[in-house]
Amino acid sequence: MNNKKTIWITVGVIVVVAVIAIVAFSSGSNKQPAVKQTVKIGLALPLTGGAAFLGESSRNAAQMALSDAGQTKYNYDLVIEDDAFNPAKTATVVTKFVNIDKVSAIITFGSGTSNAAAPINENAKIPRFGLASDPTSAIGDYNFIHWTPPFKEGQLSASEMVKKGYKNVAIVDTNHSGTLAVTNSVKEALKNTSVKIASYDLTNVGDKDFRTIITKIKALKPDIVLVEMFSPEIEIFAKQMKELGVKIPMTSVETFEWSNDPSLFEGMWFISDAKITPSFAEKYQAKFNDGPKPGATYVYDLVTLFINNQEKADHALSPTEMRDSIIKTGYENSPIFGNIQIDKDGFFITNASVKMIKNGKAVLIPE
Amino acid sequence: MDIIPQLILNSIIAGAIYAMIALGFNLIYGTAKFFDLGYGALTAVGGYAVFYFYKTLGLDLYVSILLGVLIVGVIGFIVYKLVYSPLRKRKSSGMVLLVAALGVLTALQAIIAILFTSQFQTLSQNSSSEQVFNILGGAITQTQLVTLIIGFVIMIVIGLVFRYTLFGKAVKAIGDDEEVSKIVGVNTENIIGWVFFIGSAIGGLAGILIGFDTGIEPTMGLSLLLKGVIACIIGGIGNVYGGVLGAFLLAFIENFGIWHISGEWKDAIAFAVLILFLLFRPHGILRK
Repeated sequence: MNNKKTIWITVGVIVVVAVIAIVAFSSGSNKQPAVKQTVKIGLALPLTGGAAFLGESSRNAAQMALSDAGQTKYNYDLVIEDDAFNPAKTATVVTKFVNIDKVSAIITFGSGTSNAAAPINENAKIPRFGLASDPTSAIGDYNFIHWTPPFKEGQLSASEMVKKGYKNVAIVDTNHSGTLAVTNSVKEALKNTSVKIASYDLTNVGDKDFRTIITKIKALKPDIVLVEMFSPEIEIFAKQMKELGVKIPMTSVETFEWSNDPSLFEGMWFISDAKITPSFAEKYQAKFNDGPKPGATYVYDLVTLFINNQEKADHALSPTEMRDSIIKTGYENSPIFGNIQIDKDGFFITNASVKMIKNGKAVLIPE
Repeated sequence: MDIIPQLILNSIIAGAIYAMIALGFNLIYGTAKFFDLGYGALTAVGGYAVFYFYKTLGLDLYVSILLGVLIVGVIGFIVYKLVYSPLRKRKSSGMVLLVAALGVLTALQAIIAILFTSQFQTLSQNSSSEQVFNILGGAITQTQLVTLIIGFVIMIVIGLVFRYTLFGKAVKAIGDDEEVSKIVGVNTENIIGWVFFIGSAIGGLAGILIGFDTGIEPTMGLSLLLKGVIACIIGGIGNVYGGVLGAFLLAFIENFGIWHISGEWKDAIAFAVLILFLLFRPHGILRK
């Protein structure tokens, strides 16, 4: 009799505990997963080579976005790889993100690198957001560009030249999809103005001797030289301009800011990408004892965008769900840029700004 | 404004750099008879050695340059002893030696990138303060003038050594026929080792001067080497004077070639000239 009673009591206790456990577990799953799921975000950044200082700043920004997100429902794993600003390496890195890391979204840095990654992402159906100017890197349904579009920068560059009374401009370009997209936009915008293109010279990435191009420009005596080059070529170009005694002012679309030594362009104006909220720059400065470099703001913005969209969901989003979520909700509260529209071509539309190099740093020129 | 004086000067500046590369390359090729691609990486080794001694350790400029040149010479010698000499003793084909040289180039570039990162570096402490000379209506910097002078001095010294010293005659003899040189008692292994030391040191010095003029990066050697090789083929492969002549001719063709067309064509022009010479004058302007 006692044995039977003991068995019934034991069974009763087990049933009660099981019911409580089931109720607790099922009600909890509606609010928060018992074990946090991990969402991976892949970042292909230039961490070595001439553009390493830009990649490092972007890496800092990504980590800052993650820490600013605070307590989250999900774990976020930033998988950061170096592509050295080399499209071939980007393709390898992005393939790794897709096949091994199984990331939910990818960020790439630069136009050439984004072009290399675009078909891989399209095939794998994993959304990729490039910090790029070349519109062709936003092909298909899974490739996007988060950068001020070249037509916005081109229009502003042309209007600034008109405003400053320039009659002609010499353009020195680099055979790179990003700079070509930008200079094409400038040339297109100049067609409807009084500013004439005095000369157009294209250089190859890696060229180091620009003396003959500079000599030609010196003879033409244009009012201004638009230089679209990356580091270190742009610094070498500025040095050789000085050596050859050419005092014609220079301008650029973004590339002064991409230089490792902006002080070479002291006092010169240029067109930059979108304005950012001062609070972000201040916060970044306080944390890393240096201002954010070009690209860092977009990386911060994108990582925040991924986290915000994921946090709204009740399960870890698949890559396609992540893409759909971003397209559906748009981006009305960017912490960096305010309201952003995503156009039909996959461009996050932001406005260009006018800056100048002052005390070795890029500063906004008030409108 | 007449741009021709400056274009001539630009060509002379570029020619001086190509000539330095061609001098070392031609010396090695003329003796060992294979395309030493690893020579390209030694230009970067020279630049980074000076970067380390001068900018990192803060040693005196001239001491740093001397150490840099010596180190490159020693590395060139070691590479010969460890890689090329055993292969040559096994009578390996030119293709095997070429592949080995490509391996040396890649390995040296990778080691430099690991030690110093791939970041572009400049050797001058203050590049904006460099002295600029005006010559016949054109501008040339102090470094470029020094490069030009050193190039000519090296060419003359090599010419004199070849003509008047036993070592120079031995080098010429090996270049003409290594087997016969051995039979007549020339220590070919020793002489070729010295040629690698001297040739590599010249390449290293070229890398150092380029580092002061523009800057250095681990992969700088390959493009320089290609221009040096084109210069040698145009001027006469294996001929020290021919290499220098080819270097200046190449530089003039490149710089005047882009006078009325875009600068992106510069390399295309250089390689078009190479193909023309290979087709119509494969031994170059000056025969060995």
